[in-house]
Formats: sequence, C-alpha cells, structure tokens
Amino acid sequence: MRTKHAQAADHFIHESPSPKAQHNAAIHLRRKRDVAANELQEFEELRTRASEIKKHTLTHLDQYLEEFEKNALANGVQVHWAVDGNEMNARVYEILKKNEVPYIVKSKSMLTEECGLNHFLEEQGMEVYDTDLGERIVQLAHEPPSHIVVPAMHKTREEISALFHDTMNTEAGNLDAKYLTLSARKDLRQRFMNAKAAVTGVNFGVAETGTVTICTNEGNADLGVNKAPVQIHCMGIEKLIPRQEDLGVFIRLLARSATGQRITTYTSHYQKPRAGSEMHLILVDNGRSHHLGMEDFWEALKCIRCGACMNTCPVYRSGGGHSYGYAVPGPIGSIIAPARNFEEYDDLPFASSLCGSCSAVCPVKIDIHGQLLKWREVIVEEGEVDTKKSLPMKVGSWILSRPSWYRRAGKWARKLLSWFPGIARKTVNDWTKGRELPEPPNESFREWYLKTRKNEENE
Amino acid sequence: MKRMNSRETILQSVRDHKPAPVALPTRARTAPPPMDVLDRFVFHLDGIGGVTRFFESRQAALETLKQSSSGLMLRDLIQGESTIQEDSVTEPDVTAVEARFAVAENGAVYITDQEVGHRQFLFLGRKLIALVPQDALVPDMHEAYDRIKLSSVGFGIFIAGSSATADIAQILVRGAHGPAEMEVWFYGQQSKVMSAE
Repeated sequence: MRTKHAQAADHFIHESPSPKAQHNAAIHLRRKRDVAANELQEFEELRTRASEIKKHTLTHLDQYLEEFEKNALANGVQVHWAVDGNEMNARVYEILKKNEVPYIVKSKSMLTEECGLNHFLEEQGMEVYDTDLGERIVQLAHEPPSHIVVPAMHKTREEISALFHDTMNTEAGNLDAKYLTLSARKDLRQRFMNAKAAVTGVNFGVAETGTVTICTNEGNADLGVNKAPVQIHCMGIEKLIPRQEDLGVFIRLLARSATGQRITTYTSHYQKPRAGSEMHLILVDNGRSHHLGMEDFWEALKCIRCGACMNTCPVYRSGGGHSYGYAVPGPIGSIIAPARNFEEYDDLPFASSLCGSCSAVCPVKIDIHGQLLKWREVIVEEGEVDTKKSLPMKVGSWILSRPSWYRRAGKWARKLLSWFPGIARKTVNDWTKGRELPEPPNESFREWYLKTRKNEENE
Repeated sequence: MKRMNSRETILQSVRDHKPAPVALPTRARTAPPPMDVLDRFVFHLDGIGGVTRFFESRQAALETLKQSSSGLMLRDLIQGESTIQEDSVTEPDVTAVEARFAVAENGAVYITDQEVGHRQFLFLGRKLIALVPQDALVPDMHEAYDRIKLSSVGFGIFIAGSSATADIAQILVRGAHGPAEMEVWFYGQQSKVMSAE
C-alpha cells in the first residue's frame, strides 16, 4: 500500500503558505449547508427519495441510457459514446477540428478533469479557457482543483491577487475580491463573445426528455453554450435520472447540500440546439460500468457531486484537496478512486477518521464511511498493507486470542514500562508527541480481582 | 463502425454489471410552507440580493420599463424593439423578459426560449428584469416541475438572483459573468401593489 496521501497531507500542513484557508472555507460551507437543510421539514425524506431514484436508475441504467439517447436524437442532438477518457478527448477534438474552432470556453466539469481533456487539447495546439472563476484561478496557477465546487478553495486572496497581477496585469497588491473577480470577467469577456465552441459538464441527464441539466452560479456555462455555435456536453453515464419530475428532488438537494443556497443562480435545461447551431452530447463510461458491478461499492455511483462530504471531513479540511491526488478528492473520492484504479489509489480509504460525518450529510445517502471501511478490508485481504501496520496487528491478534499469553504480555509490559519509561517514546514516537504515558500500575485488574475475592472468601 | 462499437460495448458492460433491480420510489409528501407563498418568494429573492416590485398591470410594468430606459437597452419582450443581433458583441444595459412563473422556496423564475428569442440575452448586460403575473407563483420545485414540459421547448431555465461567485476567499461578488442585478416585477393583483411609480 502507498502512503502518498499521508505524505502529501503532511506536506500541505507543514509547508503550504496557508494551511488554514481550506479548512475555514470548508467549515463555512458546512455551516451554511446545515441552515438550508434544517429549514426543510422534508429534507430527510428527500434524501431517502433521491437515494432510491438513483438506485433505481443505476439498476436499470442500460434502459435509461437507450431512452435518453433516443429522445436526445429526436431533439436534434448529436450523441456520441466514449468507452474511456481517451475516446472522449478524441471525440471532442474531432468535433472542434471539423468546425475549425481556434479555442474553446469551458465550464467546470469533473469528468473532463478525470479524463485530462485540457491537457490533451493543449497538446493538440488548442487553447482552452476555463471560465468558472475558481477553475480559471487554478488553471492560471497550473494546479488541479482542490475542491469540486470551489476549485481554488485552498488559495488566499493574497495569492490570487499576486497570480492575477502576474497573468492579467492587475494592480499589484489589490486584495479587493470584487476588483479581482471583475478583472477576470473582463479578461474572459471577448473570449466568450467570439467563441466558436463551448464545452460543459452535466449535472443531470433526464432520460424521459433527453434533457441536459446544468447548475451554475456564475452563468459561465450558459453564456458559453448560448454564444458559441457549437456546444459540447460531456456526461458520465451515471448522471442519468429517469423523469423530469425527479429533477424536483435533486435540484432541491444539490445547492442546499453544496453551499447552503436554496438553488443555484442558473439551473438550465438544454433539449435542442439553437437554430443554425450544433449540440453534441458525449456519454462517457471510463470505468463506471465496471464499478457498477462491485457489490459493496456500486452505490458510490449515486453521487451528485455536491462536495458536502468534503466540507464536513476533518481529514479533508486538514490535509487539503490536493493530497488525494485524484480529480474528486475527499471521502467520496476515496471510495471512487480505488474502484477505478486500485493499484494507484489503494491508500485513499485510509485517509479517513471513519467518524461518519460524510455519510450523515450525503444528499443521496451513500454509506461513505461504511464503504471506506469495506475498502480497507479489501486492501488488507489483498495484502497491500505496509508491514509497519500489518505485523503489529498480526502479533496483537495472536496474543489477544490466547488468554495466558495476554496475561503474560501485560505483566511484562508493566514491568518494562516502569523500568525503561523511554521505551514508548522510542517505538511510537509520533504518538507520544504532546502526550504523557500514565504510570504503569503494579498489577492488572484480573490480579487485583482474584486477590480481593480470595481475601473476601477468607474473611 | 467504431462509434457503434463503443455504444454497444458500454451498454453490454452495463447489462453485465448492473445490480439487482430497485423500484422507483413513490412521491414524497411536501411539508406545507411555513409562510405565505408571496412573502416567502420576496424573502428568498431578497436573501440572494434580488429585488421584487409590484405593478397594477402588465401595461403599467411596461410603461415603467420604457420610461426608465437609459443607454443601450434591450426589451426583448416588446416586439420590434430588440436592439442587438445574435452575432453582435454589443451588450445591453438592461434585459427585460417575461417569465412563466416564480418559485417561492428559492426566489427563482422560469423562462424558456419561447419568451426570450435569443438565449444568450439572459446572460448579457448589467441587469435582468423578469416580468411575472402575480398569480403565477408555485411553492416549491416539485410543483415547478409539475407545471412545465421540457419536451416542448428547446431550452428552459430557472434563474434565481444575479450571476454570483464566492470563489475568492468566500467573498460574494455579483456579476461574475452574467448580470450583476436581478429584479422580479410582479403584475396583476391590486391588493399587493406597493409602488407603481
């Protein structure tokens, strides 16, 4: 097993200029989420219903995919299928090339992060402009997003001000968020106005109507696709829901869970291309159908990418989103990543305190911490655990299952610790930082009990 | 054909891997809203920085719109007064559109491409004004989706407040890419008219 996450988190905590920025931002969103969730009497019922709708869709996914495709085609949408990320990237590039598109404006999409679309297009000489402000910030900084809803969550105003000064020539040292935001708007405006193609992700695909539903606060996805003559939507196959009326459940849950808003500013439904324009939809598998077959883990596919599990997670808030090394960080990412690439991400299920807060806030009731624990079992069974962890466990379980050995071990431990108090500091150094071991008692409870009972019997 | 193959490959893989069927749930009860729907709408729109105004009639609202026009202004809802073209890069100052209805629980209005000829207009300019008949108000998103038919329009959108972002240090800034201001003008119910100006 790797320890990449532990090392990256350690580095983030001790080396990054502002390790608290991400924590503060995440806890702020968690609190706002609670207010918006508690205001709805039926919130728990909505969660249950959302979970059931997603389970139903996933267990009938082939039928809904076909229904979705049929209705989208009837609406004049061009539907493409991509087995993996490479195929998705190739499809996008093919469409852009055919239309002689010089650059694209892109809105936030975790799927395209997962598939490395930006990198691929740039290699082909195509310019990509991320238009969500947070995405733009991390793009300019040549970093991946650290959060799926707030991509530049780890950055302070000071860092963003310096970055904008370097890349957009904004006033040095100006920390006004409004000034910085409007500078980014101005910088991207002409790109929007002259764009020949726009690429977006998809929040929900509605099988019944062939609808692509997109939720944003900035309006960048909508400005992009409604200006450009070519609109391309990249969608993971698990994003489907059966009917228009099901949107009522998910739209009520999504923004409340993500940021504590009652709804995002823009909730758009695209059925048909505009007159004279093209609308493309790329349905992407990239490991999802295989994941669907994992008995203990398929429910992770219910995820609607609200980020609530990240905001509430003490490990995420401390170690930062980059420490996970996967497009989707945090608790949900830690159960999705090993399902897609076990060898690469087998340490992520250990990046959790198993406190269960993630499961408690998940709007589609994924048993996130249950799955994290289950993954640990799988990883241990695969023998992927470091001997530093597995050997003491084996010795411990051997001793604990043999009463006489257990008593003997206890007796020796008490003696050794009183003779050589430094022994604990030497063996479990990190644990004893800031902790003082109690004085070892002279006898165990069992010895005391047997002695006392004997005395009482004698009396 | 390669594309045909990918489609079949994915569908077959889904068929091979999908878990045992789970039934679609029945519809959840909706708890009665704690306050009057209109009060609730005003409260939520105000909470996201939007402004609600009331007019006696649609005509009165349109008159106000005409009078308050300044600079480059688009009034897409008034026939023949559209001042920008689809391929133009000029931006309107104010965009006014007719919305089909409003949603009390979140301050949103619903607009389709039947109301706004050019979809892009909704995201341009400084201010967006949506005109809504005052009796067209639903309590929540369940009723909102009951009321619409996505399959009959090319594009439909809920808009709640102004374009916004808090991507820089959680500080809310309006006018990220779309309009920085949003107003909902209700018309048609005398009792609620506060200022017709």
